[in-house]
Amino acid sequence: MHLTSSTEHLVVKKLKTRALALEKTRAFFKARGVLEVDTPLLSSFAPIDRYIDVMQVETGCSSPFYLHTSPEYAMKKLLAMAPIDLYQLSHVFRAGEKGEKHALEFTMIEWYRKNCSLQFLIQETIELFAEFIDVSCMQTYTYEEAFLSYCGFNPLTIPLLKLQKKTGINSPHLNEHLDYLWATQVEEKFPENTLILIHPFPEFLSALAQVKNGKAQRFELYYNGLELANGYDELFDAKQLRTRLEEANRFRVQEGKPSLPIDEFFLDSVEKINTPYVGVAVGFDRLLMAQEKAERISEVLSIDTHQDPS
Amino acid sequence: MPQVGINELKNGMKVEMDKEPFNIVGLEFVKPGKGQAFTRAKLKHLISGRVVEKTFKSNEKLDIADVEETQMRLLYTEQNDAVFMHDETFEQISVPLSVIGEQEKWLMEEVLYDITFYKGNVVAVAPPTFLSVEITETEPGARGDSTSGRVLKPATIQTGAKIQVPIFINQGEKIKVDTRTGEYVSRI
Repeated sequence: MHLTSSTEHLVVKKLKTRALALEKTRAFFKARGVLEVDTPLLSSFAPIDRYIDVMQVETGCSSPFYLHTSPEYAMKKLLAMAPIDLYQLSHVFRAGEKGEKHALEFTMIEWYRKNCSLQFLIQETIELFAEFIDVSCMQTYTYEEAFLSYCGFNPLTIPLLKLQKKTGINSPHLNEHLDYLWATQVEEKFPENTLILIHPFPEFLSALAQVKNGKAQRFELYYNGLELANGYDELFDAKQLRTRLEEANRFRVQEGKPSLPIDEFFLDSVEKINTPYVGVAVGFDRLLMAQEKAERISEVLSIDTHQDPS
Repeated sequence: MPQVGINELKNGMKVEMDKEPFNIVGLEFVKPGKGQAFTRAKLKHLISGRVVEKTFKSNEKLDIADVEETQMRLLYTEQNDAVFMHDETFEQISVPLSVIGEQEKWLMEEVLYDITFYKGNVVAVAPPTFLSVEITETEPGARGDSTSGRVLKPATIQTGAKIQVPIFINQGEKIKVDTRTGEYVSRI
């Protein structure tokens, strides 16, 4: 007997689209010899980031547990024990991130390649994207070039006071003005149906990436107003990483946010990694949004957890 | 005044910015993957109706505006005021026509209006979206006038407002109008 209701038809279509995307992703990595791993979402530590907030959960244990904001820490612990190429299709959780293109819980594709250049990884990410969208048109900018092209000025070289007047944002932090300009002026003005590669980044935006010749070895990929990928030449120097994590914590405390415990096992693990790795995280739901030309992330989720339209 | 966090804002909330009252009419969450989160808000000034856009950091706070909205029925109009009454509390208020402004052309006795108070004073009066009104004055539509290509003609309705109606509508008829646009919708 056939289902005749049109709502049912739409739901089935959505589920099939998502299932096919998962299948294509798995086939892509299988063909390239990258192993799928499945690490826990729950951890007694949380990735420490200035601007990404972690969800703490009740586990019945006395010490706090967190839902991961990215499978990065867990996967890097695996790399220390088994230096192979890995990928994960993982649900991740980011507190307070809710909107047309954001969901509290979303899916990442994250993978790590050993002894490969960042260029190789960029190419591979584009090849994955080619399974979902038309990547024949592509433009490349450095972080600064993107601002110059779409804002008409370089916000990294003008005095902070002048920048504050231009953005109208109430903040003493340069990077917040940059984020504002990026999100409200640069990102929206990229040409349509064109894959945008941003590489490299200025040193102060290196996060967990290596810095070479004063530039952070990071890249990002955008398509039709969607940030789709964030990739790095991974930094495995535990001392430098610790400094960065402590700095992120200090910033969080300054902003009235809780500081988070540093994962010593993570730092011990990265010390043990002797092979160089490049890694990238891709927003799976957003990739689907790009494919389906969806306006809202809820259109590609099997169930929309937050129905509240605002 | 109590405050609301930017990330708790919802459309329809009334907030104060630079001591002016605004209605939130649009919200967009914006955040680069590794960067600061922002909320782009569209705010409509409660009195002037002007819409402004402002981007806030997610951790900012706004004062909630002392705004109350209620519905009251028009009893009668005087030279400079309109008197409304609340159906349940029987409270009566006198609103200067200057506050009512353009909406004065939709004032009809016995009709229920949306009244907005800010800090205890009436700042806006809004009619229902659709009103049933009588045509008090209009020229008769010429028979077989399709050759001239005109389909609308001017008419005056019982509130004194002037609108355009189809040429087949006659004086004395009752019609439905859209108060947002002043357009004829249908016959009653």
